Parts: sequence; C-alpha cells; structure tokens
Amino acid sequence: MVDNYLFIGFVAFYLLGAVSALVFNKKDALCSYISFLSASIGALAGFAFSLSVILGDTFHFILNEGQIPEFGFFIDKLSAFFILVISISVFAVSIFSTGYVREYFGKKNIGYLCFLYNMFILSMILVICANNAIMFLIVWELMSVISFFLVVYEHEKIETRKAGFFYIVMTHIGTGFIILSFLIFAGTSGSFSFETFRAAGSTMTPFLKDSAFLFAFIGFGIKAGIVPFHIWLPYAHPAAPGNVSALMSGVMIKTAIFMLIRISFDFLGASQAWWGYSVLAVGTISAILGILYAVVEPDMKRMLAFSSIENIGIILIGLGASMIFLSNEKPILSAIAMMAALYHLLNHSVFKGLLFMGAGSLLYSTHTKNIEKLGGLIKRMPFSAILILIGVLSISAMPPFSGFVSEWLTFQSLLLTFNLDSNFAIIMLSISAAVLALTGALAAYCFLKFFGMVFLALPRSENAQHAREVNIPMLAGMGFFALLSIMLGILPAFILPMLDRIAASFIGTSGQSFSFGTFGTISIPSSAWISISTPGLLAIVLILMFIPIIILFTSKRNMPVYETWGCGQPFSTARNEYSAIAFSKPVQMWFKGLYRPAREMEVTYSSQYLKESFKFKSEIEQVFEKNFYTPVVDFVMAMSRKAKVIQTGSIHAYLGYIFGILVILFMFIIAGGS
Amino acid sequence: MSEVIFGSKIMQLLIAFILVSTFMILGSTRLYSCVRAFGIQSFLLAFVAGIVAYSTGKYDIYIVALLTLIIKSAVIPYIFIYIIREIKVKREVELYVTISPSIIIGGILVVISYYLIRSISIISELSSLALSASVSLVSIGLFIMISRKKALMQMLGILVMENGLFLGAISLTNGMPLLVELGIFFDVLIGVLIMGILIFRINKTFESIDTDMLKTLIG
Amino acid sequence: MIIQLIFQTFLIIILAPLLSGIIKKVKSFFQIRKGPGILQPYYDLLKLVKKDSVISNNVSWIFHAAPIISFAAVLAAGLLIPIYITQLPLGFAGDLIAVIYLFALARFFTALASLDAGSSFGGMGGSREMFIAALVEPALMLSIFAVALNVGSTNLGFISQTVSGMGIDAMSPYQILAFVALFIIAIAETGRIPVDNPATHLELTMIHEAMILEYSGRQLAIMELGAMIKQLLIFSLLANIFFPWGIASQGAGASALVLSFLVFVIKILVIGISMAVVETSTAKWRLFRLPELLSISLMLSFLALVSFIIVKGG
Repeated sequence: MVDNYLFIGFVAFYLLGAVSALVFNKKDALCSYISFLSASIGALAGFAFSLSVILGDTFHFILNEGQIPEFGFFIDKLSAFFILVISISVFAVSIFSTGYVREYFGKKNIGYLCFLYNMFILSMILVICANNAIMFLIVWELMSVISFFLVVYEHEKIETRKAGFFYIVMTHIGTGFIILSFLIFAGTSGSFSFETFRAAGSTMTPFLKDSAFLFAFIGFGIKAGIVPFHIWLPYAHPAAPGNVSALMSGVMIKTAIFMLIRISFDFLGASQAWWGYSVLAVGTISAILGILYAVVEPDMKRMLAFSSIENIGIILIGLGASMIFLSNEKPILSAIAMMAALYHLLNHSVFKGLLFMGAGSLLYSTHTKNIEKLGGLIKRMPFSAILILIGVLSISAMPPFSGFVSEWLTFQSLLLTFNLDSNFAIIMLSISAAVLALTGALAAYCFLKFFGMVFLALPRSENAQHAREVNIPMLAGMGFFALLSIMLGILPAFILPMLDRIAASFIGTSGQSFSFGTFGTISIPSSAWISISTPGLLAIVLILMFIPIIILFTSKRNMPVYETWGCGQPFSTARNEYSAIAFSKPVQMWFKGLYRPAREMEVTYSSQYLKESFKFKSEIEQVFEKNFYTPVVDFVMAMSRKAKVIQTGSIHAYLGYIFGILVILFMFIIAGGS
Repeated sequence: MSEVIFGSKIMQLLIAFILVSTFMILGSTRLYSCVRAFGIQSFLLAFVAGIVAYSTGKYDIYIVALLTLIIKSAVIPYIFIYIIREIKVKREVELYVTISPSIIIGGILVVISYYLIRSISIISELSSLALSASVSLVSIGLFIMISRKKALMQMLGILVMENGLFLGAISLTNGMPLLVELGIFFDVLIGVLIMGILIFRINKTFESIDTDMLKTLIG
Repeated sequence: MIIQLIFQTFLIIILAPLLSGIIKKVKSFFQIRKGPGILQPYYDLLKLVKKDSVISNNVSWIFHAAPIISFAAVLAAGLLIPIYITQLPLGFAGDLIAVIYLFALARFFTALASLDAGSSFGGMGGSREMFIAALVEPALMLSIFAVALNVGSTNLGFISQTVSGMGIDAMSPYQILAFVALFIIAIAETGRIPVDNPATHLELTMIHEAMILEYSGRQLAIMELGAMIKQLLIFSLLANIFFPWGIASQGAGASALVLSFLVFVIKILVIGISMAVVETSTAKWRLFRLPELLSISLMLSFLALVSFIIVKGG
C-alpha cells in the first residue's frame, strides 16, 4: 500500500514540477526553485519506492482494468533498479540545476526549460514502468521528443540545431527497429502486453527469436550509442544545457540498456550464444573506439560524450559475458557478470553525471568548452576542482573510487570463462579483457589530460583568467555525486547484495558463489576460482600510509619559491605550456590509421627570419561518419530527388494517386477474399 | 616424476622458447638481431634433438644434435655476419609489412597451425604441440620471405622454414635416418653458401641487396 | 599480523635502493666502468632529504600531494605482493588487478604533478608515461589471464602458493611465454632501456625523469624512493608468480623464513642482473617504435593464452 502512495507521490511531484514551471513562467528564480525542488522531492520518493520494490515485491498497477488494451505499470526488481539510478541522478542534478540555470535568467525562457526537464524525467520513468508495447512506444517517443527539445534549447546556435536534427533522425531510425522487434513478438503472442511477450519468448521459433533480438539490439543500441550507431551522441549530448546532458548521458542512454536486458533476458531467456558474443564484440568495439575518440577531443563535453560510448561498451561487455554464461547454462556466473554490468551502470551514471555537471560548471564560469583555452582553474575554482578530481579518479578506475570496483568485477567475470568448455569463449573473453584493459589505460590518459589541462598550471585565456568559483547549489549537486562515488568505491559490500537480488530476479539464480566477509571483502569462490578484494580495506591502508609519510616528509621547512624550469630561459607565460593536443599526440600517432589526422599550418613571416604568426589546425576524421553515414545519406538524398518526380504540384495528379492507391487496395481485398 | 615426463616437460619449454625466438626474428629491425635470434633458435633446436636422442637412446640423433649445434647455430650465423660485414649493407631489415602487423600475422599463423594440426591428427599432446610449432615455423619462415625486402632475409626465412621441418621430423619420427639428415645438413650449408655468393653478385650488380631491384630484370 | 605488515613495509623500503645500486653496478661492470658503490642510492636519498625543496610559483596543492599519494599507493601495493612468504596479512585486501591499479594510481598522480608546474618538459614526460602505460596494459592483462587461468585465482598469495606447490610441473609453455611477455612489460614499467633511460638527463629523451623535473629536496627523495620500490615490487611479482619455489608458506618456521628470504634475494638479483644485461646490450628506441616492442609482448601473452588452451587439451 505504501508502494502505491510512493509511486503516485513521485509521479505527482514531477508533474507538479512541470505544471508549476508553466505557472510561474514569468518569475525566473521562483520558477526554477519550485520546479527543481519538486523534482528533487520526487526523486527522493522515487528512491524510497524503488528500494521498497527491490527489497520487497513486484509492483503492478493497472490503470484501466478489464479494458483492451490494458495500460498499466509493472515494476519488478530490474525496473526498480533503473528507477533507483534515475532517482539518484535526478536528485543531484536537480540541486545542481537550481544554481546552473541562473546563467539563463533573463536570457532564455526558464519556465520552458523547467517544464521540459520535469517531463523528461517523467517520460524516462514511464519508459521503465511501461507494461505494454503500445504504451512503451508512446512514452519512448515522448522521451525522445522531449530530449530533442532539450537538446535544441540553445537553438540560436546553428550547431545545436544540427545536433538536434541528427539526434531526432537517428532516434527515429532506432524506434523503427524497436517497432519491428515488438511486431515479431506481437505476431507470436497476439497481444501487445509485455506479459504475453514473456510467454511468447519461449514458444517462438529460433529464427523469430534471433530476428527479434537483432532488431531490439539495433534499435536500443542506437539509443544507447553503441558503435557504429553512436554518431548522434557526440553531437547531441554536448549541445544540451549542462544539467540536461548530465541526465542524458548519465541516465537516458541507460533506459536502452534496460530494455535490452528486458528483452534479451526476460523475454527471450538469452538462449543463443551468438547473441552474447555479438553483444560482447559490439561492447568491446564501442569501449575502445569511444575512448580513442575521447582522448583526442578538445571539446570537453564532446569528450565526455565519447566517454559515455566507452562506458556503455564496458556495460555491454558485462552483459555479453552474462549472456554467454547463461547460454552455456552457467546461471551463477551469469549472475556475477550481470552484477558487474549493473554496478558499472550505476557507477557510470554517478561519475558521468558528476563530470557533466563539472563541465557545466566550467562552462558557467569560463564560457568555453575548449580544453585548450582553460588552465590554472584549481586556484580559481578550488572546490569544483576537488569534486571533478574525484569524478576523474572514479572514471579512470583508480582505487579506491567507484570505477575500480566495477572494472574489477568486470575483469573477474571475464576471467570466469575458465569454467566454460568452449575455447572460443575463452579466447573471445580474454581478447575482450585485453581491450578493456587498454580502454581503462586510455581512459586514465584522457581524463588526466582533461584535469591537467583544465585545472593545473597557468590559465591559457582571458576567460580562464577571470573564472570564479560556482555557486553553492551547483557545488552541492556535484558534492553529492562525489560523495556517492567514494561510497560506491569503498562500500561495494552493501550494494552488491542488492544487485544480487536484482540479477537473481530474472536470471533465476543468485550469484551464490559471491560472498562478503568481514571488512566488506568481495570474494568469488567459484568451482575452481577464488578471487577476493576488499576495496574498503584498500582505502584504509592507503590512507594509513599517508600519515607517516606526511609526518616524515612534509614537516614545515623552508620552501623557496622560484620560477618553473625553462632550460635557463625565463618561464613566464602560458604559451610555454604543454597543450592538450600535444599531450594526446602519442595516441594520435599510434592510431593514425584510425584518426587519419589532417593538419594545416600557416606561417607568416615579419622578416626573413622572424615568424610573425603561426597557425596550426589539426583535425581528425570520424571514420564512421565519413565511410558509412555520408554514403547512406547521399544515397537517400539521391533517391528522394528521384522520388520528387511524382511531386508534380498539380492537384489532379495527387487525386489520381489517391485513386490509384484505392484501386490497389480493392484488388488486395479481392485477392485476399477469394 | 618419471624421466619421460620430465623430458617431455623440458621439450615443451624448449618449444615455447623456440616460438619466442621466432617472434624475435619477426620483431627486430636489425639484421644482426635477426641472425642472433636465428642462432638462438637453432641452439634450442639442437637441445630438442639432444633430448630426443636421450629419451630414445639412438646415438645417431646425438650426431644430428651436434651437427645442428655446429652448423646452424654457429657456422651459418657466422656466414651471415660475414656477408653483412663484407657487402657493407645497411643494417636495417627493410620491410613490406611493418613490425606490429607482422607480429600479429605471426600470432595468427601460430593459432591457425595449431588448429590445423588438431584437425588432421590424433596424436599425443606433446607431438601435437611440437608439430603445430613446426608448422608455425614453416609458415612464419615463408612469411618472413614474403614480407622482407633484403635478400639476406629471404635466406633467413628459408632457414627458419628448414628449422620448422627439422623440429617436426625430429619430434614426430624421432629423427630421420642419419644419412638423410646428413644430406639435409649438407644441402643447407651449400644452399647458404650459394645464396651468399648470389647475394654478393646481386650486391655487385645493383649495389644493393634489395630484391625489389630484381624487378628491373624483366624484359 | 601488524608486526608482519610493518616488517614487510620496512623490508621493501630498505631493499629497494640496494637493488637499484646493484643494477647500476652491474651495468657499469658491463660498460667497463668502475661505477658508484652499491650503497650510493642510499647516500643520494639521504642527501636529498637534507636539502630544501625549491617550489615552482605556479603549482597548486596537487604538486604537494602527488608524492605522498604516489608513494602511499606503491607501498600499499607492496603489502599485497608476496615477498618471502605466501600468506600475506592483507592478502584479502586486493589481488593482482588491484596491484596494477594501485600502480596506475601512483602513475596518475605523478603525471598530474608533472603538469602542475606548467613546464613543457613535465607535460611531455606525463604524456609519454601515460602513453607507455596504455601500450603495456593489454599485454599485461592477457598475461595475467594466462597465469590466473592456470592457477584459478588472481590473488597473489594464492598464485605463489599454488605454483610453488606444483613444482617443476608449473613450468609449461604458457608460463614461459607469459614470463617473457611480462619481462618486456617490466622493462617498460620500470622505465629501462629500450623504453626509457633512467640515467639520462637530457630533457627531451627522458620520461620518468621529465615528470619529476620540478621536484627537489624531500619531495624528490620520496618520488625517487617510490620509483625504486616499484621496481623492486615488479621484480618480486615476476619472481614470485613464475618461480615461487622456495617461498615460505603459512606457518613456516624461522629457519624456513630465513631460507625463503635468501632465495628471494637471489631471485631478485638474477632478474636485476638480466635487466642490466638487456639494458647494456640494447639502445634506446624511438618513442614511436615502442608499439612494436609491446606488440611482441602482446602477441606472446596471447600465445601464452592459446597454448594454455592447447595444454589444457581443448
């Protein structure tokens, strides 16, 4: 009963937030406070609701009982987990937003933004809750359209409009595939209800199962941003306002992962090994390509978007391993791999949310997204610097922060392939682990560059010179996530049992071989496998180590301050600093086959010997855009030009077309009738 | 642990090292290191022959081992180094396929060889290992011949192939008759000498031992 | 337990400079020089500790925190690696993967500090260091897979225990291939020729030295000591994963412990000397040729995995 109230409560608060945004449209500050406050209260209620479902029973709520089609909400442990993830993110982002939107006061319509923001959250929640294919498609489209409007919120910029267009086209192609997949299910089950889909999953022919999976994988893959369908993501996520991109990258793309799990595990039972292999392969490729593009990206929000592709890849690696184990009838191992995937999903929504908010803060106080133009902000924005550093350490999987635990779990679940008899599985999972290791190292590279270039040394531009610390709500929002990142890193023993219940609810077996000892030790004693790790203890050891070193080595002593060493030349300006592009140059050289860098140099001389100015432009190529999408788009455009022939402009011709179609339909009915 | 198992253990390790040395040839860009790696490979091969001789008790295989040690791991590398010095060739291995892809191709060849051997034979674990190593050596040797420009490297490739055949023969059949082995050694030695002379001639004619130059010979 | 922890910590701190000194001595022997005494690293460290630190005027707190964090991370890794006994008091705190990530943490902060002063050399060093770390990582993970799949665990104490229990049986083709792969990785991780030159003081060629260029005095001392400890730990990893014979297991008597300790010292010396031999017999490679070296390592570790499957009889 409490569940009912909580559910209605949190939906109501989001609605309240949306409505009040419209009501107080004229008063910017009031509107934003009320709207974001009610969103964060809604998030708290949603948090409580999802916990009660995870620890208790499935929640089933039918709107129009007895009617056909029956619309209702169905929230099992899996959906509850995703509501939990959404709620956590929404809570932090809403607090952040109250500060962040001040930038738009008087310039843009705040009420519109707040309305869309609340509706966006509501639509994501409804996507998770939907229990009927029709209802799902409606709310899915709603989510896509609202997020489209949010992406083009700053529509006065041309690249934002372009990004929005890109996004809406790609997401509709995805929806097309999803509809195909649902039609296959509906064809077997005779109904659009997800319950009948679940029943149909076991009776479908293998061919239908394969195609249903494949269509769903492509359709949801486009939304999740897997390679090669990722191209919209680095355009759309950076274009949106900072708080929205935190939600889009942190949460929205996860709804696609949710449906992928729902369909491939819950409906289809992950019965085919090749599904697992393809998910694993796509995940591995997404992870490495995502981070490779992130490393060389100078625009920080685009960099974060590319890194989202990478992290979706890591999640898919866990999912793929889980599917492989399940199809080889090792449900326990499958549950462990699933936990790794879910843990990384949770972590990613936290640290990526934190970093996107951080990027938002940097944009707020410096008005530039270009890493090359920043620098030295650690002295100007000390608190943001610490919070972003925590995000950076988490995403680089440094112990004892959150990313480490989920990457450790992912590696361990890949190592569990030892229990399989298939050599192919061992080789595939090991290669995937090697690529994952490379990805991790490159992620550290990328985010080290990000932090170092943005915060350390001297400011590289006027904007950075005059940057100021952001306001308290923004710091509070980021601080909440930073705290969470640390907690997720050192207290996995409290979260994993919960994930275990969730995985058990649809895999059927809990990861029993997964146990927790004192100090929160995670241990994986499978039939022939023992691996243990205690992130919490690791953190304690690490911190205990600090104390004697600090006492021994940093006693107050005379520390003369002098210029940085510049080979005897006076070192003064930021122009002598290493730049971001130089920092990532080795990787660019290493993978020049992928990047195909194009560079232009323009030198003007004031005299024969003295260079007056020097202009260097370097650009890397987006392989998929150039070799895959451009030809397709060109083809479509050419076809449409051809199709233009029938568009004569004459009303008679159009009537003629209608008449023709009518006759064809008649023929069709006659043919069917006989 | 019985002696046989111990012997086969050592054999396995030696085969692993032989593979490592093959990758050293593939991975180095200096002629000297290639020759050195080839010397090491032959040295290990001599050991393999020695172990086979010990475990079968056939004395003629000892002779084969000794000959391998002398000819392949000392004389032939010496001839190589002599040629490199005499013709004052640039010490870099010039490549058609760069190092990293070469190594990856090498690795793929090893895996393919293993599956090839597994699919055609029903023999013991050890001989299957040795045989797949032998096939990989042959194929990598061929690959070296294809992907390297200098005539010297073609020579080295042939010798790696020969080493592969030797490894296969010795571990599968416990060695061919002594007479045949002697013949092969003689052949190899003479082959090396003739090729060496040929390289001198190529060098003299073209002032280079880049086999690309031979393209100019077509009518 | 606490005593053992403290003992192990002090042991690695005390042994690390000695190992460095011995490697330098061996190198100078091969270069027909007399070379500094093997205790020289201790004198250097002592001298540095006595000196004042000169600080760049651009730096932030990161610069001061980095030596402490890096050093602590390396020491913490030292408590997870078996040195002379397989039963580690904190063995359950982390496994091989945790050790790698702790080293990564140390490297991360060193590289961050290198950017802090705004010097181009620092940036160059940091960039190259992270680049090499990225190059090494896949081969490292594959060789870990080969080792771990063989033993059935990634916990180091367990690996040493099992491998030393197997006796000569443990030596198999995949162990050899994985060892060679890890040896190449160890060269890269400890910053030795042909990857990095520990003795260079030419700003453009150095990697690790360039990163810590701005440090002086005590801070430099702990940075240097941290690097030496990391080297000792990586050698012990090599020794105790692949050749753990003679290592004492749990509950061993005092004589067994002493013996095990002696065996450990010998193993480390052998690895150190072979490292010195490799260093003297090769020239430093260009940075952009390093992917070739490390692709050899990658392929060997991949073959180690394949041959594991072969030997397993798949």
